[in-house]
Amino acid sequence: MKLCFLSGLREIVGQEEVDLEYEGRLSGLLETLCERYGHSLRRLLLDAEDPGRKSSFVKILVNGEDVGHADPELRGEEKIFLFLPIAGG
Amino acid sequence: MKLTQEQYIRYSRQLILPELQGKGQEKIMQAKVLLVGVGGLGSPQALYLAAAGVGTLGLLDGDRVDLTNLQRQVIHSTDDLGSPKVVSARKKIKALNADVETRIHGERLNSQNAMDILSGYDIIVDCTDNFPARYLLNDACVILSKPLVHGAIYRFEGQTTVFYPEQGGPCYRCLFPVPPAPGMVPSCAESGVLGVLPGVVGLIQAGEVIKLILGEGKPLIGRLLFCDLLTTQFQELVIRKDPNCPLCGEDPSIRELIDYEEFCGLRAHERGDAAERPGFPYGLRAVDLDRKMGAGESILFLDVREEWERSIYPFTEGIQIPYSKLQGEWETLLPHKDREIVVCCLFGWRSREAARLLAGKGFENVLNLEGGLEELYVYREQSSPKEES
Repeated sequence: MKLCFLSGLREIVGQEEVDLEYEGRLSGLLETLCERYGHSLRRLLLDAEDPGRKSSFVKILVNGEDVGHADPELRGEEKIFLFLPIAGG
Repeated sequence: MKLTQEQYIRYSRQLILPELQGKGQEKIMQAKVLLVGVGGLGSPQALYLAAAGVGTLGLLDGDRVDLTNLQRQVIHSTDDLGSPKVVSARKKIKALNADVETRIHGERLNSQNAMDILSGYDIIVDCTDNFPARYLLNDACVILSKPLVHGAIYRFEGQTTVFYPEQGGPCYRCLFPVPPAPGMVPSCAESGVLGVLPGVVGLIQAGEVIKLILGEGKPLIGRLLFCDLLTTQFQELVIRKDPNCPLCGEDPSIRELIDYEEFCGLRAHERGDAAERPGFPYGLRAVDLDRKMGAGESILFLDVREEWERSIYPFTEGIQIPYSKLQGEWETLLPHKDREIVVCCLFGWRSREAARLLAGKGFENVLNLEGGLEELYVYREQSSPKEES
């Protein structure tokens, strides 16, 4: 699958696109990413109170569809966009 | 309205466009556009929209021009330092195009004044720099059925869209139902911003404003445009209206403006409510630090700035470990685990993260220098006795 890190996340990951082999739930993918990129990503991607869940403000689109609170099963061929709200002006 | 001969000449390069013509120019000259924020995003828009002949330009900003603004806020000059931004901007607009009527609102937008101010304009442009103002503008625009042209910037990256649920697109709450907790996403002051970025993003917004006025082209309704100037990549994502949105959904529960500081967790953050502060560790302000030092308390400083930043506010006390290396080097601090450690960086954001990391490793007495070394320097400068002349 292809992961695209947009505003607010790219600097943590260090690149805008990452190719990854993964099949399973989105929550498992997020945990894999947090293990790879560490604390700075974990605090943004995962809920502080319930670390098994995605944080409420990160935005994740799988093949163009907003996942919202769902935890979809991924087949490994998806294109996934992840980004944060930014407020600067 | 009829254009004068001089106006035909002034706007000739745009009114020969088939999408515009004389009628389009007349629409532009009758339009009323409000720029909320006359900083990075608002500056280029004020200049270009004035040049295009927008009839009424509202300028809303409660700040004054300071030196750190001038790297990107191109409507303000060195001569304007200390002036209200709306006054400085009005002066430049008048010099550029006397056709434009400027209305200035030298105050901060809040739940009490927003509806009155916004109702006098056709199009609202979000050039603000904080989440409470963005949610406030969104809610007010949805309630008033006005289009909101959104722009936001961070380091090298920008986001632009048009929120206009009336025309089928989502609102800001559909996209981001919940704001990040205070301090989770850093501001431009904390993380830096490339000076030309608000120029690029702001002028994409200005282009959207002109298209909305003309009713021509394809505005960014339902599309979120990302730009990254570091890689020079633009990416567009489709964004959809949320039928369950509490503001613009099928059964809305928000029908009037609320307290946006509270909604964004800022009041709880200021009160120091522990449960509302996933952002442990506890902050220490410059004044408290100096009080502690004055009382002779033994403090170990940990400066997590990168090496190249250390010349900005020289500070050589304690231990230096750049934030980028702390994850791998925190164990070198173990001999000091029982001491009180004050973590500092330039503006207090990375140090907050560093302190949180150390707390997670079992360091129990870690404090963050809120506002960073910049605030400490300003505080010490202001509180030092002035020499008699």
